[in-house]
Amino acid sequence: MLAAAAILGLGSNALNPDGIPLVGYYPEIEYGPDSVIVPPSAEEGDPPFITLKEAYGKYHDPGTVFLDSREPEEYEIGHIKGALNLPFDWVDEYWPDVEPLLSTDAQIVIYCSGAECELSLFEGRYLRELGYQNIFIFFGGWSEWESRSFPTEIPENES
Amino acid sequence: MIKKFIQDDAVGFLVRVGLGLIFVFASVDKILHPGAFARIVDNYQLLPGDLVNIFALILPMLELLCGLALILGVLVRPSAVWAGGMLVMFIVAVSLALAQGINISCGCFSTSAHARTLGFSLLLQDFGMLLLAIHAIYFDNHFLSISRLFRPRRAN
Repeated sequence: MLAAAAILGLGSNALNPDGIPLVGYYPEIEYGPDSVIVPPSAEEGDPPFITLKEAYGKYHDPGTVFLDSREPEEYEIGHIKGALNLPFDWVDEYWPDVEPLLSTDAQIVIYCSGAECELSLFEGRYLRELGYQNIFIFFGGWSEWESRSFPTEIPENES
Repeated sequence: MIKKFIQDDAVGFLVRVGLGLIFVFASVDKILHPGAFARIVDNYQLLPGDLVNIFALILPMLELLCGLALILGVLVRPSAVWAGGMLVMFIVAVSLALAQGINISCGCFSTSAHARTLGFSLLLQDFGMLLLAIHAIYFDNHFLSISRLFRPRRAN
């Protein structure tokens, strides 16, 4: 029965014009607009802004660190799975705990609530000044990530 | 009395066909949208990336075949064993995801990003279906089945 399922599953996929590759990413995923969201306050020299699709790709890169720049209360309610909380408004207090977890050559993706929040941009500039160069701003942020049901951590009593 | 009820042919038929319908219903959207289902499988973070797509292509077809076999009454016991095995796998996967605090759509009946998310009610539902599968395995019901229709009649 497993062999029959394998033959039918792989065969129907081969005949399906919307079929997926046997290995790799999934063309049917709807990531939203491919155009990257850039805040009005962005300046030349800022860390690059990335789309949801790019953020999701980097999420699968080993060693990538996601930084959540929102308030601790917002982080506690729900955040991208595995993300560290470095609230920009409290960055001096939180930085000593986060710094040991970040190597200067680490790939870092910073996000905030979404397009209405610029803390990720400010935090990206801050980290650049500290010598971190491999930084990306995912400006679609938590709202865009959550809307696609990508991996999150949400306490049981909040879900 | 309960024993008689459980062993009743009509009850066995309802369990078998009911379980089959659930599996067929669960498979359709996944077969139509393999990419979306692959993403859901990936979100569970249990399989190596290279196996995700192949798994996402074979599992729904296995659900469909098991479901159809149960409805038609063909290969009832093997189909019920596969169905039970898949349910155990779902229970383990959901439990691990819940233990890790992963909040994703379950991929049970729909590949929509806004479909049902993981929770303990889902685990209870899977355990309930596992009981139906165990019943189908144990009693191997062939009431109103294709296999009985084509079985050679005994000579008098």
